[in-house]
Amino acid sequence: MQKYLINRFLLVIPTLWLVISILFVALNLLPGDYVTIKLSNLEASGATTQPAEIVGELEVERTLHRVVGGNTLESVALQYGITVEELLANNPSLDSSAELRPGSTLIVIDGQLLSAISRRERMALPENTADGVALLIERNPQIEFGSVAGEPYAPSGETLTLRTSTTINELAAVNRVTPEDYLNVNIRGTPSNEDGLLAADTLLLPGVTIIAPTREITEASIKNQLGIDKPLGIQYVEFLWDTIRLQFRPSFQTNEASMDIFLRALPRTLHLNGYALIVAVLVALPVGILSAMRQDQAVDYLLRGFAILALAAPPFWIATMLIFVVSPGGIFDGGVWSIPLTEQDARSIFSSVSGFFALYTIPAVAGGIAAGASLMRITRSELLEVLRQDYVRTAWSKGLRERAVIRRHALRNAMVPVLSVFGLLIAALVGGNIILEVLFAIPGIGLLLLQRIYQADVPVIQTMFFFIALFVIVLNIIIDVSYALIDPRIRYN
Amino acid sequence: MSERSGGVGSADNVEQYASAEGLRVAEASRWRRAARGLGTFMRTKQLGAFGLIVVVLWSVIAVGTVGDGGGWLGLGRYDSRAVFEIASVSYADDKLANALDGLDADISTAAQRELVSDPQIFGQVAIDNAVAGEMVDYGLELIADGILLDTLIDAEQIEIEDGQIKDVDALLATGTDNPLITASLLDPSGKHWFGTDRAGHDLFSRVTEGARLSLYIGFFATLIGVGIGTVVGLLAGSLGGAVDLMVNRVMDAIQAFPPIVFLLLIASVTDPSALWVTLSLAVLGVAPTNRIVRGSVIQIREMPYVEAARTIGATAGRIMGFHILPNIFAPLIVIFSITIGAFILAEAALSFLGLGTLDVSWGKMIADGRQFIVYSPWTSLWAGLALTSLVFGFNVLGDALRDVLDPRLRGSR
Repeated sequence: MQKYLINRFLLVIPTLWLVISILFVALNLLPGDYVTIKLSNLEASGATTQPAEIVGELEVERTLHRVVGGNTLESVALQYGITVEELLANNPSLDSSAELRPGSTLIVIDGQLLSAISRRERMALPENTADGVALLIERNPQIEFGSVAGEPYAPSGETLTLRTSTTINELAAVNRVTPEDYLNVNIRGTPSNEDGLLAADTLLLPGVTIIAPTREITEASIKNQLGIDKPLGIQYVEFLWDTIRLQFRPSFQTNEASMDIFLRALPRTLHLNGYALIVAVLVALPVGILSAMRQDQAVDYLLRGFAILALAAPPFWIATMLIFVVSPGGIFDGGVWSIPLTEQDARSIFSSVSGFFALYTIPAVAGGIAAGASLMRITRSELLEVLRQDYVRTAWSKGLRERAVIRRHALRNAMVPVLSVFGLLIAALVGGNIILEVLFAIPGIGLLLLQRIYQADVPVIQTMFFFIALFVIVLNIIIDVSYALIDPRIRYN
Repeated sequence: MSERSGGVGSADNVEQYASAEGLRVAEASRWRRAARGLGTFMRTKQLGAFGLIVVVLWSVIAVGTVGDGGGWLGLGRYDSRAVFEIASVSYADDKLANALDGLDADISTAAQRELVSDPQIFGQVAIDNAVAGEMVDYGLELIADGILLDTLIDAEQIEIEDGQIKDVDALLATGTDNPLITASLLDPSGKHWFGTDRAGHDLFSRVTEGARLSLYIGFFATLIGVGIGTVVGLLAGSLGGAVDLMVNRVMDAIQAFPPIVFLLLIASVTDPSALWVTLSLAVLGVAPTNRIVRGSVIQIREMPYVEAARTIGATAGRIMGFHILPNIFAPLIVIFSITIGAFILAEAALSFLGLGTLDVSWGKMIADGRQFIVYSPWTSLWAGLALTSLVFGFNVLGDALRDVLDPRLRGSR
């Protein structure tokens, strides 16, 4: 047994090494894209063009939404993370039963979310949105901020102070270049440096015009900071070493630790997958056992037919059609359910049980059905195999009741092979639920992964891929080892 | 072969026996044997037979609707990318605000709104000539004549003179089949059998085109994946040792990513195209194929006939190609049919996320339809039903083939 265990664990090392290598090779193609995205973002905000004026204040406007066909009050509210009541309160001309007229404009928030301002005003505020929001609140003590879905917003009509002054150091940090890069282009005689006294920590007031470093300098500087200007070999060794120590690079987008982002998203994914797995097992075991016990009877055919169909139907389609069936405007006019707003309370079973069920039930059922179907088929076939064995016949001939035969003699032995496919099943479930997270706007690993893929945020992508792979590897070890513990024949093969 | 009776064993004996008795030997040609096998399969495995029929049907539809005039089946009556334009309420509302900004038209009734809002026939002409009110009246005339929905008017023929539409009667008489007003989210009808999607595409032709993509990607990805998997499995199984160990580690590493996650990994670094989707799916097909082929090879390697071949000096390559490969054909066919179904699902999932191909695909149709599903479920419904039926067909066909060809594999999936 010990030898088997040691062997099993030793085999993980090359597998892990290969996984990390795959991640490195695959995603090494991406940073180029990130640099391009980043540069065009900076260019759009005026950071790499010619002289730009330092902006200090912002006139807060209303947040508007232009209705397109297919928008409902619910969908607009969901998009901005507010409730339908709040939406109606901001638009007195609207009543809850009216259809939205495409092309019309809704006032979503009577002001602007600080997070939205922070994301847009990249020149003035730190790259990390949370820091930006905190800074805005700190710099504007005179303004009474409202709150929407737990996020502060600035009321419209107010004048928001983005910054009172800045320095070359701050500008350089935001624009991903070194202060020297700035000083090199703002030489004596340029508008910001007429007397030649400009230094990295000189206070620059709003209204001052400053020249940004050229695109080439910025590009080189970004690459240097991301560590992607080194030779590939060195990058590879560094990446390998960092990953082994679980020290991932911070997010390219927000500078947050990749691990924090991952850990923040993890609970929701665990909730969804745990629920889906429970649904799968709850459906599959009784149905599989019943189907095997009543082999070739009407019940068996019915259940098997259902399982085959459930295997063929993609979960995301089942979920889509379920939404149609239960949501307002679908089959039932009033609707029995609509996608809840995920940002409202934590939607964790520990903080709100009803919130948990409202959010996760439909995706978990959709995801659980397909996994349950394959589990049911395996349970059935393994149980049938066992029911043919001599010791089961002996149990019958002893005069045991059906329940005792199935539970004590047949099921226990049938479950051993079922265990071996459990790993594949959970892996498939985790993969499939990524799509369901996107579909139901559950901010778990799947949704986050997809968002970061669109943003080319390599460190976060790598972290998530790595942990998913690690999870599957560990899961397989646990299953192999428990399999070997239960069934001694395995160890010797 | 069917004449095997009495004590006759070899083919020569059969012929001698037959000529002596004046019987004709049934020439069981390869084709006839295949046909007979198929007949037995259809009789004994009804569900599998049903699956085979579904698969063949979809393949015929997919291949038969290529080209102009709906292909040789004549089913694809419309171009799947052409936008069909007929007046419809939902689309009209959409265009209303854009078309009528600042124009002085009376749009109090639904019928008026519907008419005036189309940018091509009424809206754009109206805006160009500032005669929106005139357009509304004209449109109402069309509706009163029951003309608008069936006969369609060529916008270029509308002439404006002094802010008035010239010669309305003549215009009505020239109604052509040229579709003009977008038929968005129509319900199924005789014209559009499956209805239309949001942009006014004919859903039936999009479903058939989606079938083509699904089958192409599914087939070629499986072909490449199972092909490579077979070669790798043959090598790993026959050579053993370090090669085997190394291959298994690589396979483990690939399988450490759940299928969708692996596809996302590839999709995140490549351009969206059918080629990349096919290739990344093919990589996914290698590992399971390798596992099964390798297992079979290890078993067959010890068989007496392989031993015999080795004894008479057959090379390793010859043994692999002529003695082992033909004997793992049965499991390969089974893997093939099961993998195609899984790959078609995976491709749809990828397209659903917007990371698949840019072509018309069932997964993307489901995603498109989802956004306005409460108005019209048809886009998602048809695409999903088509996807489910095709995957169902491959799954039950694979199950039946497995039962017939390789009972050992039962329950492996």
